[in-house]
Amino acid sequence: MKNLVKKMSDRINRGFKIEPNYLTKTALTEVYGKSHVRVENHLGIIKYTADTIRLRTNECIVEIVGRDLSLEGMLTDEAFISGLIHSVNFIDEGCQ
Amino acid sequence: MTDIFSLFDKIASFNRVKITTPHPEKIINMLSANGVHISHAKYDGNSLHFNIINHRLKKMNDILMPFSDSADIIEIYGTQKIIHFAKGKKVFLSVLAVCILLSVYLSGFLWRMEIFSATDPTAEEVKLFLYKNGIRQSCRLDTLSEKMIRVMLLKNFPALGDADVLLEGNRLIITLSAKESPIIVFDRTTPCDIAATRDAVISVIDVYSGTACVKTGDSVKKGDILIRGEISYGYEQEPKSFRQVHAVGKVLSESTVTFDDIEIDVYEPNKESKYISEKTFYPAGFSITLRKKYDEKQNIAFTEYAKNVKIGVFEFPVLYDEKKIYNINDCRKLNNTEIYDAIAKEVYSRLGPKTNITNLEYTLSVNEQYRYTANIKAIYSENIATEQSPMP
Repeated sequence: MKNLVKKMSDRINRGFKIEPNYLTKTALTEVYGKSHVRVENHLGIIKYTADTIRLRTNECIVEIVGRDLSLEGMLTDEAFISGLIHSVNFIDEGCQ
Repeated sequence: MTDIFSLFDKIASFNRVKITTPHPEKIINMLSANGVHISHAKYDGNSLHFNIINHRLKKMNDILMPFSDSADIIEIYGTQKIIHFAKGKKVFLSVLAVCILLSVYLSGFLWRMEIFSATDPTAEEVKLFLYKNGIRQSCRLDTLSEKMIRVMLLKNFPALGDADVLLEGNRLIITLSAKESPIIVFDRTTPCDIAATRDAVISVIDVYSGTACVKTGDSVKKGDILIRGEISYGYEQEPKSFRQVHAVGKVLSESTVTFDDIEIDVYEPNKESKYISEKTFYPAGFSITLRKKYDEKQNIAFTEYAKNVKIGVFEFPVLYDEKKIYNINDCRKLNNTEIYDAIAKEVYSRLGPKTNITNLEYTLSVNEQYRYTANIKAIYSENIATEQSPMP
């Protein structure tokens, strides 16, 4: 059922040429240089330390690894992270 | 988005909060899920620091209660901080408010007056005239108009050709131009005539080059040729021939003028004499005189106009008139020559510097206590010759 809904959403997205995360609430991750990361449509934080921040999304876990990481802004569905970013990883394990 | 969030944060008041917890993500998620937005969150391995809007503080404490984590407010920012700061600095803020209000109020007044003038009339004369007519530093700007000042100046100073008046912010800039533009000196090798500048009766005519067309006692009208730029040559029996030259000459016209309203200071205070000072200020269009008692019969007053208020070495754009009242015994009476010079100076200032007084008669009448009015009859001559444009 979930796959069917996803397929239909993808078709609608393509048909109307709208952004892919609009209907499906897919996570949108934007990286600004080496200092900022913005994650839209996240479902919460699952790990928060000065070196690693993990955010749960619909499809996977977004892991930001770096140094002196801080959560500049935190809204219900949007997180803005700053610090010295080393890598942004997408982890499939354990995702819904 | 973050910028808007942080801007909103700063406009309203917000707090920097510290929560000691081993699970910062739980707290962030709980707050986020309940619509409590946080920013600038930092975790140092032991405690979580973040900013939170002031009015969400209560909701945050309710959310944190089940976790038995206590939130400590480290610092207050935004409007609340300003209010907090203001509470302890009432005097400072009152002074600041007064200064701001004073600045706003004073911006409605004239602060500076700049007059650019040629020799006639001088900037000082114009300044004094405007001052006596209420246009001075510290008068209200809404009572002034460029057109009104321009008309006033052109009407009062006949020697003026134009007056450019500009009100720029709190400054009044006046640029004056003389009526008669500098004499155009044509090349002396170019033939030209000399004509009259105004209607007059010729009193003196000296021709250095050219042929005189008028003689002493003749009445001429403006534009009439006075000296023609041609010279005849040849013997008497022969038909005359003419040669065109550049006319050069002096043509004077004498006129008589009378004045009966010139006030003359016949007394002069001795140096370093003691005096009583009576000052008149003009704040916001009103006049305030700090009067002092003195015996009018034994004293004489001299008024100095448009003096700047000074405190130490600082000069303020507030003007005042100072009436210096001297005892008559501390003053000396001017002798006849000095009185004549003072009257001649006054008459020259009225006639203009291009005139030459040939005869000056006056009688003095007492106006008030120790004050004299001069009835003057002056005969003056004025050059009425001007070069006309070169002949074709």
